[in-house]
Amino acid sequence: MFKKILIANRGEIALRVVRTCRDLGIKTVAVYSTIDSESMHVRLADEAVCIGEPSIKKSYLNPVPILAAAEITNADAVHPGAGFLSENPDFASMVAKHKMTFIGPTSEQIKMFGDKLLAKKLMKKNGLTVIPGSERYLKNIEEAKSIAKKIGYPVILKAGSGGGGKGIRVIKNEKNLIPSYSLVKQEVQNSFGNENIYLEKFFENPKHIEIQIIGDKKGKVVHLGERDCSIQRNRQKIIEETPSPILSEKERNYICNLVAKTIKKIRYESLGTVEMLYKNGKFYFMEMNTRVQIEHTITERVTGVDLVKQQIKIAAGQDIKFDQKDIKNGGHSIQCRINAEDPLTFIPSPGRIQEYHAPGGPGVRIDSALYAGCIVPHQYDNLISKVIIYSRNRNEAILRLKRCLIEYVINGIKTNIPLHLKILNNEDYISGNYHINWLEQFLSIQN
Amino acid sequence: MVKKYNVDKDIIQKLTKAVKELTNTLKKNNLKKNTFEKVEINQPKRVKVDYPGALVSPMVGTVYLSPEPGKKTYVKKGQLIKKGDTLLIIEAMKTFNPIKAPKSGKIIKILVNDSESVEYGQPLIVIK
Repeated sequence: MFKKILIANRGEIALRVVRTCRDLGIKTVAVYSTIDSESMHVRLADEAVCIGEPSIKKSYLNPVPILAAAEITNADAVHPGAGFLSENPDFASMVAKHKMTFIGPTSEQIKMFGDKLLAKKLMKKNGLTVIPGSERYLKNIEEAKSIAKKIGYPVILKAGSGGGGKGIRVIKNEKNLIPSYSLVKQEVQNSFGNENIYLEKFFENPKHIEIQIIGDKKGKVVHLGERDCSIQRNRQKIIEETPSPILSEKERNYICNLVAKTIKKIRYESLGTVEMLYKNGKFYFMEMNTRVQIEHTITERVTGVDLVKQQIKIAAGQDIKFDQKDIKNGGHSIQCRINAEDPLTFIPSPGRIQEYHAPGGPGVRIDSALYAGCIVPHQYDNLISKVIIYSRNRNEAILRLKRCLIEYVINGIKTNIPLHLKILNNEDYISGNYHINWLEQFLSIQN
Repeated sequence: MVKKYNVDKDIIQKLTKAVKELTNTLKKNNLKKNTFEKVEINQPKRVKVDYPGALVSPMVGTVYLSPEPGKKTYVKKGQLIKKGDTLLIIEAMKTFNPIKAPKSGKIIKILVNDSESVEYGQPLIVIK
């Protein structure tokens, strides 16, 4: 097992990793930018190294000072957290070149899943249904036209190396395809420096269902059930829950076992999430995330498995000590992402926290790096806290979640807590009858 | 595409040395953790507006005057603009927020520089 792990991240996810390391008796090294010197992940780590100025390019996205920090502190492994360098194959191989362990899959696997078309091809070959569309990057408008005709409108044009919602456009008919094609190509060229675009079938109002899996170096794979992450705004998840309120037991077993079988075939060796769209009773592979997810918490709650602990153990070469039959999902778990933003205008709200009181009681877990007096800097993500609720059934979980949100005191900045309460009181949410565009439609009716 | 980094052993060694020296200095000063500078973010407070009619920043963040580094700026001094035109972008918490003209008129003065941090209520642009 590792003796000392450097955590190449900040905020609640860095704190999450620090906590499991301490549970395992492993020493931790925090890295931080100048503005984060008083933050919680730094305070709770055994050692801390400043790696640069607040701008992410000068600190958390810069591998050189991070590796230097790992070398001087004699860390034997690096945990990348989520975001920043966590899905950068070059960072993973740099860590390995410096004779340290990258806690995650191999650099080759990260690279493979980072290319969206390669990932689709691999998953299709190994048994998953993928979203119908082009199997290679589009050569010209004629090719786009013929594929669109084959799969049927509406279609969606996407960047091969996308992110941040850039280079994505929904097209209703062939007349709109021609102008959109050149526009998206231009946008992709400007944003990513290549012209790789592809086309996919566009589904009206699907659900986002994802499957949590873990695999070890011996080739054993176990799935830990699904998560329904369909409450989204601007492609950012806001509320996640497990189990999904609309899947039947038969559907759940079918997709979870199929995904586990596929992952076993490709010999994936770490924590991973297979993201899928669900529409008309069918599941379509979208992409695979090769890191710990922000919403891993709800799966931990219903399965009792510490996913970060498993991730670290697998990276250290240990086997998964339990079998699929040992995983007994029970009860219901929901997570609300508390963001620093105006709940009506969504204007970001960084600043200093004046008063802080976190909710408690049975079935409540709060993952947050906030404390009274801390700074929420404007340079980083607006996620400041995760409220994770567990109860025997979904109705009780919703009631408990509302109770917690009312208890939660975060003064000094604005948060989206009022928005969460509105969603949780809505009939569509209560019935489970929501999809990935539901929140945006709900908000446009409100205005 | 993912950015490529070249591993430069020399730079890492140099940095390692520099950080080691820094750590030693800090140890001497009996500090466990290093604080290079105290950066204070105060609660949103209105900066005194010295420019009557100036458009003020609705948020704390980083200003960008052009869509991308090295590209043409959205607007320049003396330019005539229409209500709703994008004047600049403020990046805050990983979101890019276009700041639009509240009225038509002429750009009299641009009061901020590219990549500069702005406070809530800070004057950005004077339009007449």
